[in-house]
Amino acid sequence: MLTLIWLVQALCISLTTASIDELLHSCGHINPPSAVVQCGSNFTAVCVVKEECMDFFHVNANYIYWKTSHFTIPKEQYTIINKTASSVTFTNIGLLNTHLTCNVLTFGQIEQNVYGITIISGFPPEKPKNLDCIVDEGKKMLCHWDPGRETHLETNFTLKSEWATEKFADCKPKHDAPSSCVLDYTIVYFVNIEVWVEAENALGKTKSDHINFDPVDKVKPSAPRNLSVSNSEELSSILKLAWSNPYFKTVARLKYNIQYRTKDASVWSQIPCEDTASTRSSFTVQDLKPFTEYVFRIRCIKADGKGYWSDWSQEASGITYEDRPSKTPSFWYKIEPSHVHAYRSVLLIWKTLPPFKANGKILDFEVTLTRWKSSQLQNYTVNDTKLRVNLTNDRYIATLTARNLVGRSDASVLTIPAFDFQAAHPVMDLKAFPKDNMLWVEWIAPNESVSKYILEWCVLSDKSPCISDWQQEDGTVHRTYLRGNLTESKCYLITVTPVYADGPGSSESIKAYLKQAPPSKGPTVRTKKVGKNEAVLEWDQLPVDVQNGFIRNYTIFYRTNVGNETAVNVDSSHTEYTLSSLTSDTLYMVRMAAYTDEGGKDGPEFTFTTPKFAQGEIEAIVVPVCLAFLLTTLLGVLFCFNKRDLIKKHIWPNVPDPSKSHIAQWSPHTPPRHNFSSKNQMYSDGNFTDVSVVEIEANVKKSFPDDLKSLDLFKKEKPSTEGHSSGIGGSSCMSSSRPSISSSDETESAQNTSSTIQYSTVVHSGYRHQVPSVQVFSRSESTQPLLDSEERPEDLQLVDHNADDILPRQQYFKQNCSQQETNPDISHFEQSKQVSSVNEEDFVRLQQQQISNHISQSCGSGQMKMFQEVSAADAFGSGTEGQIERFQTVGMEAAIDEGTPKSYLPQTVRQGGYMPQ
Amino acid sequence: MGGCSGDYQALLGQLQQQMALMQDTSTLLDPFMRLEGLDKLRFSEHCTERPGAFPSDNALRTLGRRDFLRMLSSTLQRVLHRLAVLQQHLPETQDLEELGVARWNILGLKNNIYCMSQLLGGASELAPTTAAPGTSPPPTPAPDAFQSKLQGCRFLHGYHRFLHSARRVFSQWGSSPSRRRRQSPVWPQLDLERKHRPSRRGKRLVFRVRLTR
Repeated sequence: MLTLIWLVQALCISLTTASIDELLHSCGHINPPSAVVQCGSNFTAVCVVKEECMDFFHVNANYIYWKTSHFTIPKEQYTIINKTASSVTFTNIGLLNTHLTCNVLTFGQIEQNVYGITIISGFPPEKPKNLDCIVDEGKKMLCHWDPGRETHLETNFTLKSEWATEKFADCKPKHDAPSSCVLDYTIVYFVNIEVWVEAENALGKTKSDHINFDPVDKVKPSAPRNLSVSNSEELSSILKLAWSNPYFKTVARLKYNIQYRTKDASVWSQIPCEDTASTRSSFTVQDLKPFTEYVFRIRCIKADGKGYWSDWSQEASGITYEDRPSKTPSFWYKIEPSHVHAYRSVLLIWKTLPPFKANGKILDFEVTLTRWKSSQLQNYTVNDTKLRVNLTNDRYIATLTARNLVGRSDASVLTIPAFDFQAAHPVMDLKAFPKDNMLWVEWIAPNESVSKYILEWCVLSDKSPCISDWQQEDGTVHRTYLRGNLTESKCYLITVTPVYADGPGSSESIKAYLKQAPPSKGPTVRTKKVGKNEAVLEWDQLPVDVQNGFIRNYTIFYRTNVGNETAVNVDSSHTEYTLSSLTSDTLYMVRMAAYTDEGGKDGPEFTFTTPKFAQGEIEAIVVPVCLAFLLTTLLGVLFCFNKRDLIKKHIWPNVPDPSKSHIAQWSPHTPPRHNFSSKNQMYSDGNFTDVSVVEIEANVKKSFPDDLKSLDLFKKEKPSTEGHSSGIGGSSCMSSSRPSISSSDETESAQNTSSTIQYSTVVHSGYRHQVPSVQVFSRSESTQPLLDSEERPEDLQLVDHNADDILPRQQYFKQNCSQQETNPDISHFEQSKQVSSVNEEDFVRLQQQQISNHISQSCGSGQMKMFQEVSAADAFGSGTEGQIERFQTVGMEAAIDEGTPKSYLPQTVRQGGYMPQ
Repeated sequence: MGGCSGDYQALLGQLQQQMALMQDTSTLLDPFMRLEGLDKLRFSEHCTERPGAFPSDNALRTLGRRDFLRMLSSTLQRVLHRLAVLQQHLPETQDLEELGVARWNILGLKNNIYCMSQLLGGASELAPTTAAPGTSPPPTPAPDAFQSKLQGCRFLHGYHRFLHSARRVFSQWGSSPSRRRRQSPVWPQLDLERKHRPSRRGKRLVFRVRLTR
């Protein structure tokens, strides 16, 4: 049993081993086994499959297919070589780095990999170019070259070097610097060495041209060290340089570059190369400025120029020795007010010398004052730059010298003229202009000989005083720039004073800007006067502090709410401007900009409205109209006055006296009848009693157009009344109440009314439930018959009330006097007065009515008035004549004011009859 | 192998400058004495060339060009061996860099001698040696330490003197490889004094160089 188990295990192991062995053994191979292919070339790989595998898988070469990475290569690129071999060909290969596998399809569908290789494409190395070497002194030699195009393959460069008798070890570049290599052996000068570079990769090998050189010609020396600078007390214009040469100086001769500059300069000057073409360790630089600090640097190279310049040495500086001041100080004076009689306080001022003129440290200044024609000297030693002295009114000569460690400057001489000196001869055509960021001043010299010029300037400002600075120029100068610390956008007042031998000349001044800018703010415009079609604008000149330049012009922008903006340019000398052609009654917005040469700035916007009428225009319209009206009125009055007879005739035509009528018998007690029917009807009734005749006198005050209109109406009625003997008097009679009294004729009278009647009965209905005391009649100009509703029986019944009932009603009217109206309709008063035939009773009644009417004039409507006439008469009883007259006047005036035609004749109705007036 | 320069003048100049550089005791003897603790002033009398160690000045002058070159080459070869011995005797912690530089310079000098021999047509006698710099010489018996220092000092002193003599010979060589000239040397020395440059004030008044000695 144990043996059986052992046998089974042995069999299994044997079979497993056989299977693994079969799997481990490759079924074929690819030739070539690996490939590095040059880009652009063709490449063919052959896959050879073992016959036993062919038999095992039952395949042949036709079942072989090729793949690159995961892509199957088209069969067009395959070539069946024999039963077991197939090849694939790639043409014009590009850049690639891929795997190529040979595969077979076993059993028709199972993909079986046979073998695989890696294909890399690239380029062979190019010939290295520009091989060169440099020997940094103290270091190894470094050679570098241009490796050529990228090969895309691992390319090895080897720097080779040798002598005629010696071959040195190869130099392999580092990976981070494949195109340079540092030779690690000691470089021997004066021995020619041959150097070249070999480049090699899988596709080829090449080498650069050999270069043969003496390493000493490739040296970059170390920079000179310990550069020092020293001056000379004997010569203030030289500085001595000294340095330590590099060790290379012992190997080869050197030449140098020496550069220098003043301390504040940025540009280097160089000593000529021919002066430094040999090995040295010191050099003296001449023609330098006294007491000036210079900075130096130096570098070197092999004297024959072969090799490389060393780096610059560290900079070293030195100051040349002092020399006596080379120039005289600028010297000027100012006379200040003095409280001492016969003396002047003179402030002598001068400038410190610039270093290039001082040639050293100025220790002090010496001032000497000499009175004219006097040998007496006043000496002052001053450390400051000003000296205040009290001088008499005489002429003085002042001299000034500056002293340094070496000596004194020449003297500056200044003449301080006598008190009564009159300056003259100013410079001419003074100009100031900016240029190259400096403010230049130019002038034409006077004809006289000028010793020097003094230029003074200060900043003009409204906020601070003009603190002046100054400078001096030689007498030959006629153009210079201001050497002060000038500021842009500031207005400078520049004064040029020529100085003559006997004293200063007259000064000339000019304003200038170093650089202009737009104003800081614009002008504020306002209106000085606004008219219907124009407006006068005014503004203030901008303060000098905000001008920032010369104001060249102003521009006024104005517009309406909806209109386009209009711009007007105004000269800078103006401070007001008139905008014309404006639209009346329009809102305008206006702003103003001030412009310098560099731009402008807008001011705030101002709004104004043009009036609808021009000044005096209203007066021009109203006055003529009033005058014309007045004239017309006067003419009308005059016309009326002249034609009063005619007017009277038209307004108050002659009415026949009814008492003299032959048609009817006048009976004052005849019951009133209202019969507005035709004459025939009146005759038929036999009651033609309601006739009154009124004679109206023409009055100038009544000459109104409405009255004339009434007159016309009268004319129209005339034909209808002429046929009757009563005329208009008839109408007056008919104004009594008629239907309510003659009820039997109601139907008939209504018919007549509708045809011809122009009179109606006006019944006061009272206010609300108040009952009028009396019924009054009024004339209607309407030809329309009165409606029944207007003739309510209850109103008519009120006529029957006693007079005792009237007083309380009158009281009512007093209470309603709030609405006072002037009732012009008082013509009936006059009519009443002029009635020729009235009895006394009637006259007394008339007076009462007039008194009553006065109340109604101030209290109510026409209807009310008529109502009051009666009630007033009842209330007051008889009045005086004077009172009546006064009421008439008032009533007439009221009628004039009202102006409404009232041509009917008022009548009073009494109970039981009609009372003519 | 790298080709020699075919320019006789250039090669002669290189030889002279090499020797001028190598004859300077600061390149080897002085560092050696400092390293060995030999005060230069104190031992100047003791540190002198042992007679016969190097060919004398006169002996060199009498040799023809080829013989001179041959002599020069062989002597330098001996120096190389001796420098190797000196290197071995130096303390391990105190490597004398100048020794290595000197050996390289000697090899360079021998290379130029070889090239000059080629120019003169006798290069076969001065075939390049295979002994590269740093090749260990055969061991020699160790003498007394101080004596060894003095020997080394004397040897180096003779070495510098020998180069100086050889340089003088080269300086007498003519400008052509075909003629031998014995007149005054035409090659300027590095440290030759130079006269003041004539003033250029007439041309340029800005700068004037003052040479310092």
